[in-house]
Amino acid sequence: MTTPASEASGAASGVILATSVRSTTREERFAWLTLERVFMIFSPLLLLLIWEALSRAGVLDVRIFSRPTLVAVLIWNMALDGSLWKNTAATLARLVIGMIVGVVPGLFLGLTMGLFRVPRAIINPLVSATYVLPRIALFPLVLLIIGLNETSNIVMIALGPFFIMTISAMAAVLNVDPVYLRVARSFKVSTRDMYARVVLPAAMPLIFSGLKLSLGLGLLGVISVEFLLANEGLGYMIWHSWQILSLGESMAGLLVTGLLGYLMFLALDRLERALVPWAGPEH
Amino acid sequence: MLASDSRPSVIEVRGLSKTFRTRNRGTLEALHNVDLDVRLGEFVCVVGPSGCGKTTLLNILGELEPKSTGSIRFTFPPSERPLLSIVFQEQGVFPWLTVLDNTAFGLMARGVGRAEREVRARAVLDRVGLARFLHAYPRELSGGMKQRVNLARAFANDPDLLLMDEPFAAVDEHTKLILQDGLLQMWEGSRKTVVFITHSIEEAIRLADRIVVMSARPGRIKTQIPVNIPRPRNVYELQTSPEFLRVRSTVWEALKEEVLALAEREADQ
Repeated sequence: MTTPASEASGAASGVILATSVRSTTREERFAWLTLERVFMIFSPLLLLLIWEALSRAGVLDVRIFSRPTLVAVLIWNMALDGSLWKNTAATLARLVIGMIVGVVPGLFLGLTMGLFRVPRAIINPLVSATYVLPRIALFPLVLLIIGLNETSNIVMIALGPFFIMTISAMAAVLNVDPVYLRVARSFKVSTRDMYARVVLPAAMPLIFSGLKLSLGLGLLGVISVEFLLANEGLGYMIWHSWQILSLGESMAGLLVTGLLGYLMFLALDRLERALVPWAGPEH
Repeated sequence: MLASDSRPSVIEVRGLSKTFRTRNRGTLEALHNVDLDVRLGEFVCVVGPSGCGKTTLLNILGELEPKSTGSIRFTFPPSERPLLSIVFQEQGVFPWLTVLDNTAFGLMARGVGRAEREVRARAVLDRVGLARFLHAYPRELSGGMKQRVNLARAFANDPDLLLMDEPFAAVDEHTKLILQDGLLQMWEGSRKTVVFITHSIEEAIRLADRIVVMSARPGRIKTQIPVNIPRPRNVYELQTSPEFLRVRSTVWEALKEEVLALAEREADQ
């Protein structure tokens, strides 16, 4: 899932590069962009093609692994009877709410910890101690405290993004190049401008890396809780189909989940380009 | 020559020392009993072997670091201007701001309104030849162009004093000449007081009215050498003039001992 997505982000930054002022290497960069674009479509397609070929050749057992064309028909039928939309919408809603519930407080906590030493000293040990716990192991506890309801699901989904955002926002602030702080201080900026116009923008690229990691964890969280405690959603679809040995549908759920994650990743990439237009590709 | 200079002294450094505490609870004396006077509108270059405390001196003048002992007095004629701006090395340009916003940063920090600060920033950028790149981000600029943004930012702030910490150290020799020429042209227009740190003797001679040579650590002022090359100067032709060669050998004589002392000390460790 991450591979085509990160390729896409590479292609996306290529677009910005092509508008660069220096034109000497423009053609070189343009060629690179085209290569990325082509493989963004071609690589996943190739994988499906190999799957189809191996299945038809009898190398892969079609009863277990199905094959792309059969899965495509299944997805088409699920789209027609509405179950695809119902499940996708349920998963997407949980993911978006869970991400917001996790990312927003995590971001603020992480920024506070990065900026101020006292909260960092107090909270950092707690974060370190709880972060390493496998979050799914907390599910029974969460159910006990919150109850067997949708709120528990959201909390479970939000936990991963919350921790990642806390840690990465803190690290982003602590890793701001000291030379920027010296420049800002030499111009006698106010404390407010120091945070809003120097520290925060300087931390943005790392914060976005955290956001991308959070999305992966959020998706993992959604599918996990839907395996365990849901009667709709893509995770439910994958797990339920597997239990009744309807493996093609399970595969269909997997593919749709992958596509959903991929599209959300692209959306995040767009957001990054809009909010951090000054950041170039990694050097 | 220095004695006949009638301009008032605007920076008076007396008995300045700086001692750092090292990690293993020892101490390290970076500056020892430094006395320095800078006159209004004077361009002073400070040269010295690496680790001699030149940057520490500049940081203390710029109030980025506290001094240990001694005194510093600024006696600029009263004005609306800010006291000083510092030009750092290349990476000091903010990558998240456009060339225009970078240049206007000091004005923004002082609460100058957007319209006015843009007019002033544009005027300075015009002079450093970046008028076509107002809305470009630093990532899109070459190292020399970034350094021009750095200069523009300091000049746009319009301070009484410019402190420059080896601003051209990271660019190639040819770009360096172009930047020095640009700096001198801007300086000719304003005649601001400048303290410029460099490790390049040639750079110091091209730019300075007076060169201050510092000793190896702990940094002391070893000698001061006036540069009597008339202005405006042509930085591209200067290195063949007799005065340039004379000053260069004088500065090198003073610096040589310190460089050799440093090399010896490092070999002993």
